[in-house]
Amino acid sequence: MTAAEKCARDGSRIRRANLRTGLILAAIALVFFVGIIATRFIGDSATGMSVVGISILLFLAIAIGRNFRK
Amino acid sequence: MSTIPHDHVAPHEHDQDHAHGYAGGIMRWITTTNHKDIGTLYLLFSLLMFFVGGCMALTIRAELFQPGLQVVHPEFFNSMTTLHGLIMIFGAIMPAAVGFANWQIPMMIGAPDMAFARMNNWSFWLLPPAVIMLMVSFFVPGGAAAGGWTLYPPLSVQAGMGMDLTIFAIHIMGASSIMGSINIVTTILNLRAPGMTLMKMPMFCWTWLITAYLLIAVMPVLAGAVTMLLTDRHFGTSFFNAAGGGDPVLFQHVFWFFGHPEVYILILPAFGIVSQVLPTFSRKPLFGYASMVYATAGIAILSFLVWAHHMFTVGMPTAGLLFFMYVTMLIAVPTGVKVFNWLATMWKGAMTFEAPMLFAVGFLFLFTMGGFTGLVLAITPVDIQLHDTYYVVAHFHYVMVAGSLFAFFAGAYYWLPKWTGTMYDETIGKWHFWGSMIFFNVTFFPMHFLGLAGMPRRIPDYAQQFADWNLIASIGAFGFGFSQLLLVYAVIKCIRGDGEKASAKPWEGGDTLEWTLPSPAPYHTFETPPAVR
Repeated sequence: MTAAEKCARDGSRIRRANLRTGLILAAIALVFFVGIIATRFIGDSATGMSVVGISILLFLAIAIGRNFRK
Repeated sequence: MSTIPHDHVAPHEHDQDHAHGYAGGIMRWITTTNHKDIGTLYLLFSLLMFFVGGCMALTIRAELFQPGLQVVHPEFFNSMTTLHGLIMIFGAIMPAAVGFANWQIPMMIGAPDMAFARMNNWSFWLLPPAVIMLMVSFFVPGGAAAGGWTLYPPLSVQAGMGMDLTIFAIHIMGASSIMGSINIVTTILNLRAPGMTLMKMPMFCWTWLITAYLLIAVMPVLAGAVTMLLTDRHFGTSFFNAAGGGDPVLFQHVFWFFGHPEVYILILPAFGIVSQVLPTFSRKPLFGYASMVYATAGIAILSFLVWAHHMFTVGMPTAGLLFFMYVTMLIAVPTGVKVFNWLATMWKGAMTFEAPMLFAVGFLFLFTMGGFTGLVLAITPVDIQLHDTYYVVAHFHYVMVAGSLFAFFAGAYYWLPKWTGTMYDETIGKWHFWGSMIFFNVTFFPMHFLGLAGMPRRIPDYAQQFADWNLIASIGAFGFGFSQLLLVYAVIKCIRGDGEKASAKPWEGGDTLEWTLPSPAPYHTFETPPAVR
């Protein structure tokens, strides 16, 4: 493989990785946006707070766990 | 560790400013995808908004110069307090932090640009229309939003069209922040130079990585809250409208679930800047790098768990009050770790006190004071007494102005030589520091006394007993405002190249990657990643 081909392959790999990371982060943002409104329809405050709380813990687990894997 | 061992590369080897040009004139700035151009746009925009918000602050202080109503109508006064808060937070401090991130993060991690260069352009260009919406709201029927930057219902449900414009502006600014944050996280995670492991990154990059995660988590919550507010106002829902069975206190919970992490969103990048400046001018590595990283993460995690300390007076169960009181106090632990490490970094260092160091030390002193008054306010029974008084105003201005703003001033003077290729005028920098330091304290220290004496915030008139300290605070505010013109003068001088030419590494203690580049930094840098050992 020539240096130019390797460079192009690396560039493409980085672009795919960027897109994947960006989409994951955008999905997290979307979940928080929709989630905070959806919990208002679910029921009482305790239910809403539980749903939001679990979302936060999941978010932290994903955010921190992703870096542990690296 | 702040010391990044890397293969030193002679500046000319990075001089890659030859292959790609940029559009000329105004189109360069509108269409640019270059992180340095966009960083410059963010920083200039935030400086402009700093003065717009500052003029609003001076209007407030002019009205409060003496008791009675003399300068503006009470309704306009309320709009001033509301818009001052919104513009300073969303228009000045946050864009300034993103400006620093745009300029510095790619250069500090050895990346050629941000991961999503076009989205970066879009993130910035969403901001001017949002601010224009906020400013236009002054001229619509009912005037601008006047219920405070917290937009609490029922006032925000009942307010006029200005509130709709404010809600849309918050949506746009929120979208801009989320896109900027996604860009920063992706850049840091995917575009670091070979050998630049996470635990070798400069602290500024770490603090921004954590800040960006916070932003991604909480900005959508604010967007959700104001969306519900909008549907309450126009689509017959009753999320917060008590008349329809809604709960106004619910808005406070949701708002502060965003609002408290937002405080750390505003301060963590400032921590990062100070963590770069103090070691440089102490000529020592940052003390306790790993503990600084963990403390930053600890602060971020705890920031999700303390929101209700902003609303101790709404009538929560005692268990709730105790929980939020203790968790709030717990934040003092990681914050204390940071303050200890900064002091230990300076300890026995060969310190010199150029303008960036002066602002960093000023930050350390005043932010710690703001932190202590935060601890006072964390104590529930005390907070119930001091809630919505000028003590709270003093507290958060010690954190936001002497915290974030002083750190940004430190960062601006620190990196201006790299950005412009010209050394700033040290005399002006020092005058700017001392003017800011003295007048800041003249403005905000008396507010502690006013708050303890019971003066409520967000009022255009007050009892005679508060007159003396208000007069002093107003004099200080005008002094502080005019001191900031020195910053503008220093920046203009640098941009015009009026000063000593900066070397690639003007600060002998600077050890991060940007100092291996020539000054000013070339338009394109690190197209070939540097090798970091």
